[in-house]
Amino acid sequence: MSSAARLITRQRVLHVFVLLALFQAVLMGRLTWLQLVRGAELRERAFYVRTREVPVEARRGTIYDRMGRELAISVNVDSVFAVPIEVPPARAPEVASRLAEVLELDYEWTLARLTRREAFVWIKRKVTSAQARALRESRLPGIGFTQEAQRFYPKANLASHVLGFAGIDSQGLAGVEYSYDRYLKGQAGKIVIEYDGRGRELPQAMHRYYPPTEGYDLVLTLDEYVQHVVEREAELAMERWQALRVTIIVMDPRNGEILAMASRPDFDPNRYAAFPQEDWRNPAVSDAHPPGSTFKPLTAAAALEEGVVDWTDRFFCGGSVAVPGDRIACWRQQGHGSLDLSGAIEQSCNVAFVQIGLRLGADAFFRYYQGFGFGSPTGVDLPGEARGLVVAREQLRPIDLAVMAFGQTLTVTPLQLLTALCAVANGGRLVKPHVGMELRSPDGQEVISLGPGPGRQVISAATSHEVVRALRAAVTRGTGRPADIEGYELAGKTGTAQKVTGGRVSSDRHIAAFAGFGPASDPRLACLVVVDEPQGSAFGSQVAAPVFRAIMEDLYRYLEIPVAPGESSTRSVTVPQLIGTEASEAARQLAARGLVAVLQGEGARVTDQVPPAGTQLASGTEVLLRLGAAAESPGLVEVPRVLGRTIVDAARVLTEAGLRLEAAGSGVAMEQYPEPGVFVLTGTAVKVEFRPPSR
Amino acid sequence: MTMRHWGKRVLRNLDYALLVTVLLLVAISLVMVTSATFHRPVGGDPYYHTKKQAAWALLGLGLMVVMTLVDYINFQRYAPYLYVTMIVLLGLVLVFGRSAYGAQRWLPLGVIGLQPSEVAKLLIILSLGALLSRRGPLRTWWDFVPPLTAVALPAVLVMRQPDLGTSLVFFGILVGMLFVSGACVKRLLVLVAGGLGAVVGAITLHLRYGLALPLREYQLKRLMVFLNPQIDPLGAGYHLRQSLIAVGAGRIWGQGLFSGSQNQLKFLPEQHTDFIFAVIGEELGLAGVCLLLVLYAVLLIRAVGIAMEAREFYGTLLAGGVASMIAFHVLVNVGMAMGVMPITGLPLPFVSYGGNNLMVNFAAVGVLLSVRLRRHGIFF
Repeated sequence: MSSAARLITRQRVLHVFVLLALFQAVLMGRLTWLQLVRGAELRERAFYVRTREVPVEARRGTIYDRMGRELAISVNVDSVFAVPIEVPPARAPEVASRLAEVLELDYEWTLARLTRREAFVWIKRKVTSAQARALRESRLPGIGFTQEAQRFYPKANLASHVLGFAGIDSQGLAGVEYSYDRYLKGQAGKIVIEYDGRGRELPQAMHRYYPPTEGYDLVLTLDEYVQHVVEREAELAMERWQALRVTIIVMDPRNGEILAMASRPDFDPNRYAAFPQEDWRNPAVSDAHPPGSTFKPLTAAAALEEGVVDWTDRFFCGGSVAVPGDRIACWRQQGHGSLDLSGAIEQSCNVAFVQIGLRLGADAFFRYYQGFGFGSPTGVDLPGEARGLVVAREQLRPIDLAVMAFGQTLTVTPLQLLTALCAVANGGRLVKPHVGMELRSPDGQEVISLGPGPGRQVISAATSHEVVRALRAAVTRGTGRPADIEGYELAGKTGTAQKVTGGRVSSDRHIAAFAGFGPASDPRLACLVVVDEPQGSAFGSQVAAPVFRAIMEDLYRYLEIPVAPGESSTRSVTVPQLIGTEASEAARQLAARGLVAVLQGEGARVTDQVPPAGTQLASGTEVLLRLGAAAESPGLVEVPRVLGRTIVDAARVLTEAGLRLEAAGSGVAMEQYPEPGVFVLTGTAVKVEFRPPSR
Repeated sequence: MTMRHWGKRVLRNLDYALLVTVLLLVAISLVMVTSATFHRPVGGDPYYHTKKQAAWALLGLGLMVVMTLVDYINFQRYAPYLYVTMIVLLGLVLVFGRSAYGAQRWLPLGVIGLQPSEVAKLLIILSLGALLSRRGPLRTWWDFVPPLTAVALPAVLVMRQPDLGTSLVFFGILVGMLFVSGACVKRLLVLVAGGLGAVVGAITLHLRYGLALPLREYQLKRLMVFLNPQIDPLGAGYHLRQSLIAVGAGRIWGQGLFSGSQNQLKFLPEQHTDFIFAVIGEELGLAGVCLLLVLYAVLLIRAVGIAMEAREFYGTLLAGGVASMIAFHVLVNVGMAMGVMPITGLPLPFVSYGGNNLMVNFAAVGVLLSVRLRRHGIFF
């Protein structure tokens, strides 16, 4: 080999070496990038690759009425899940058929889920305790249980539109369940389990328990008793008038607290899916209709406040009135003759209000329209509020103004109307209506008050008092007479609105309403009754006023609102303790005290009563008795031994015994309280401390 | 020359740096193979793989000694026989081969299985060196035909098994040895670029127009997946993702021996063979990986040094071929674990579990030692 060739070769060998060095530099660069720059992220990924999470749902907060009665509670139920990789393929059909049999599932569907390439699949959530017990006994491989909270509405349909409901994931979907979901839902916890690449649970692996944070409890302004009365009357009105819909709201005009809000048709939130979605809507806030004559007190208040009319002015009604471009008829064909303002309100004279409206003028009308809170949501803590419609200011013709003055053409929601009426009743303040009273943190430490501010003044107190006096007269002398009860000082206004369907004012579809309050001297209750499309009569005075009257009669007694002296023979009695007694015996005891028993549910014994024992009631008042099967004596269970068990295992053992796990730490159980062998009440939480096993 | 004298001379001329490097690599291998396999015992023995690897290493050391003592000139002399033997073995495996993972690679040979494609790596170096040393530097296109043909034949046979990685190793060896032999660089570059272009073009045509390729679907996916692991995250991309996670999770000092979660919890596939580098990265971190790469660098520096000192051109070519072979394996294997190279299933020399490869590597080092021993031309 020549020396020249040898030199070339040597050079080339060196080149090879340089090339290799370069390659290695690239590899080192990549390594440094992977291990130093992305190291933390990749290490985290390595952790996630080998862990699985089993969710532990937070207990959703309880919803109470203002007296602390439970309206929505959460109960712990089992959900069944599968870790498909832990189901031996050979046994999958057997497991699937057992699951399908117990949980009433489709076999093919179940098998498909068991063989999915996923770490975790739900088989069925929120199963009955019998189903869970049967499955636990079957000891199926790869099938696990986790506790979830199932929402339960013990009063079924009661206040369903206010409560709304929560879905399968305990997420609020309607009503206050939706609007206060953020507080009610709490924060889900989880159990993190470490698995190997074949999906086997590691024997000494990390079992980390992240306890869920329970949701806040919500106290509503609703009163179950008031709600019941209102629901009962709504039901009766619905039947009596074969109506399309009935909506009733009871509010405290002093502060905007809604004591009851009910509509028919309604639904049972425990089985919400079984009802048409249309029925889930809350018409009290979501439906806007022409208010009709119930709007007249507001027009009158605006006109008085603006000084365009006063109580001595007289109006002439000849049965109709001409306005530029049209003629408007009064509801009384022969006319009302000569009336003053009070008479116009008492007789609900359209012609007089057309004149008042035209005197008021468009600008002032719109100012008060907005002032009373129309055209915008009231801000109530319920979802789905409508704004209501009005003819736009720029397009307004005199005829529109004339017609709006007596409550046609524009549309308002029942809640907007009652809120505006409350401003008339309470001395001129527009208060914000609300159903939430307070939120309480799970430990009871924190209480968030939900009461809104005092509201803004929309009319003067003087005007307010004058309109109240006229509305009182409307009940004693005018169209509102069917609502009157001697001594109760009720005030209010009837309304008979023509519905607007398909953009046209309908001549045969009406809304009968009564909006009122009492006592007139110091209003404590305001109530709006709206009967949508009653059959047989359209008049608010015939259809709605009696409903208002019946409600007020019961509520005055229940709330012990003093009635004018000498006008009432009712006396105060004490409600006896009836829970546990037999139904017939309970009814007898109530009758002996002059109270009326209203039985609900089926069963031999009373399981709940409203109002509770000790309450002072006026005689003649209803007492609700909920019946049920004879209450089981609350079972005692023996605390099982969980020491040495993993979190998942301990949770399973305790759940099987009907107890709850309150876990701390991670690893295996080292300490437990109460100790094994102690007898405790079912549902008691057993505190278990977990620590990594020592070698 | 007495026997004693001769023995002294051998010991004086042994390349100890190379020897120590190789022994260190084998030591690392034994530790890492243990870490990678003791959690999956065979027949109840958690050290099954470790023991087998240790036995192979002992056998390999013996083979290395034999190869050191044999004068490498003999390989030049018998090169045609070596070549024919190789072709026959590769042919036999296609007919009688035992399969593993869907490819026929093994010839049953009593208790042990012979993997002709591994043996072929060394036989190609030995026979190609003979061909190139006889012909002198390649100057014309025509000159390139014989060596190309000589490598293409075994490469095609290996491809049929199918074993894409090994056939690529053959071409890696070919390019390295051609370069060292002084072949026209321009033409060599054109050939390499043309070859790569042809591969890329063929794959493009396959994907676009369904051109038939001598590849299984999984091989193609593995080739492609390093460009974008997301195309098949649970299949071909799974290896890569798990490997990247493992290497990255190691950070500077690693998670500690026997404590890498990706390895110990069996998320890493083929963790004791093709992906042992990822185990090292995860458990020993950047520090361990750097040590490993330094060892390979020393090994290659020695191989290059031996090539430069060689008495004969054939010796230079042999050392260059061995260096090319080991470098190619390291680059592709490490690159694959870090996602910069396609997944082709090449072992990490001396470290990956596997007897045939270990034996061939020991034999190759034996050849290096033999070349070094005889660098002054006056050995006997």
